[in-house]
Amino acid sequence: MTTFNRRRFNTLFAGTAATGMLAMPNIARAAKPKVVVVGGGAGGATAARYLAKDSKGAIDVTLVEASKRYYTCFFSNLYLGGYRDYDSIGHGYDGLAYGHGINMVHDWASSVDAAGKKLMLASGASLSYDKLVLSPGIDIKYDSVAGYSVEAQNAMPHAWKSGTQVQLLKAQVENMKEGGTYVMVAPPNPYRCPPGPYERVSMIAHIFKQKNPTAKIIILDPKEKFSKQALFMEGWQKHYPGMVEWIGAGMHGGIKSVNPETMEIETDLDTFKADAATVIPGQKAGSIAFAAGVTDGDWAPIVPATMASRADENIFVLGDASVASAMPKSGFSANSQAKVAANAIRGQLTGSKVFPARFANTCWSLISTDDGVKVGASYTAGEEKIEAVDTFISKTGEDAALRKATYDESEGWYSSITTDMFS
Amino acid sequence: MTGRLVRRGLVALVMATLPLPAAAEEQVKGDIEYGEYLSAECVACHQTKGHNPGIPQIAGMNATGMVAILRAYKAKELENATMQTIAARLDDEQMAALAVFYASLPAE
Repeated sequence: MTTFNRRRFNTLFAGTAATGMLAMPNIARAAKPKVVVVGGGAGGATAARYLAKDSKGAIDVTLVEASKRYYTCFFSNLYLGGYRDYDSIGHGYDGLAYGHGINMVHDWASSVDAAGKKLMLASGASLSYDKLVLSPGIDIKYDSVAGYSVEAQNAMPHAWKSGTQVQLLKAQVENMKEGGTYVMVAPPNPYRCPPGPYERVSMIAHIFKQKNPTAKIIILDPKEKFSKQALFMEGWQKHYPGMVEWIGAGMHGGIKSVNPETMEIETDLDTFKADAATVIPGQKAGSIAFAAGVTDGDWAPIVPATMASRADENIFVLGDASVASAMPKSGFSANSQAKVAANAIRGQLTGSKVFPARFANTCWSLISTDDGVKVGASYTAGEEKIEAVDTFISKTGEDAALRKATYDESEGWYSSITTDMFS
Repeated sequence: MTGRLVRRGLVALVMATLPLPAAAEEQVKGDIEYGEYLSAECVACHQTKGHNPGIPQIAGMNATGMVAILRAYKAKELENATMQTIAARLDDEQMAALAVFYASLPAE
């Protein structure tokens, strides 16, 4: 009866509020407006939480996420390097379900009926929505590297989605033969977590330094330059002298194919034999963005002020799947974009005050123990694109105390952002 | 500014955030609802509950002190690239809004 009474009270209250407002069709219907969020990561979990928390029960929020436990992609490199245990990067949805009354649906979103405003689930059920938020992250473009495939990801893990792939890579690196060679095929732009491949190399070098000091690391990069390049190059020279070799596109002339049977990677320059390897292919928006018809090319264009899709005003796209222009594909970015979208959606559905969009991002990377660096910016919503306002990056030659403070800050951030997503 | 001077400045500013007489506290006037909205940018790093090593606790900080610290970051008198970037685009109204919102939260 308590539930019934509360629901009835909300309905009555919403009806009363509607008499004082104009042009609020959703409220006038006297049913709570419905928002369905797809993807329980940094974008989706944050959006669902802010919609539920800030609307104080006036919006019915459903979160569709296949996993019951979410392992963050950010900080999975710290697990790889032995700085964190696997459990510490895993998070459940109890806080969202019980603390905020969000309807948790552990299922796969399979398609969208945009005209009927319905999301179809793999189980066969469907969810009606007034607004749909898609935050599906990335899918791997297996065919972007010749010879690579979903079958090959066991021999040459991409490990670019957190979870078992990262556990597999850690086991392969730790068990690599003495004095062997680890080869990483780095991804082309744009991709999730720009400094991520190079932080990963740092963490693998950290393991080798302790367990396999004569091992070598080769990075075959389809790019000419990469995020925080000067900082990583300086750090590798300082902490792992002679161990890490980065070979850019101009040097190897192109990555022609990979062979998971022979563990060989062929470039124009040479064929590299690996004892352990990572292949991080090109990436695209998660499949539901394509099914919803909101993509243009590999990603989903958005309206910067609201994060609404350019193709459908009732669909919002957050995080890695969106075209966020100057903002990198990162968990911090997705969390920031989610708050802008939640504010806009709440305004549209309940008439709450809408404040101008503000975005921010910081990407921390760990090079070695207590040697943290960061890059970041504040952003604003331009007419066409999200634009950087002010940017910063750590400097080469910083003292150890500052680098330790930067690392400590990243640990504090991890605790705060996961609280902001899941509590 | 040398590291030592920056640290000394920070100590002075932190001292300024200790509880002040009511009259001084009333000097900061801001829109608390706007402050709550703006705080969404802060909570990605500054938890509102519990201690968080590596990132200072700002919940319950007095408003005068918070405005002083934000102004010092904006003027680059305090060192932290992230905070300098955040503060750079906060105007006086926004700083005041954030300050009154955070002053309204319980300190841990």
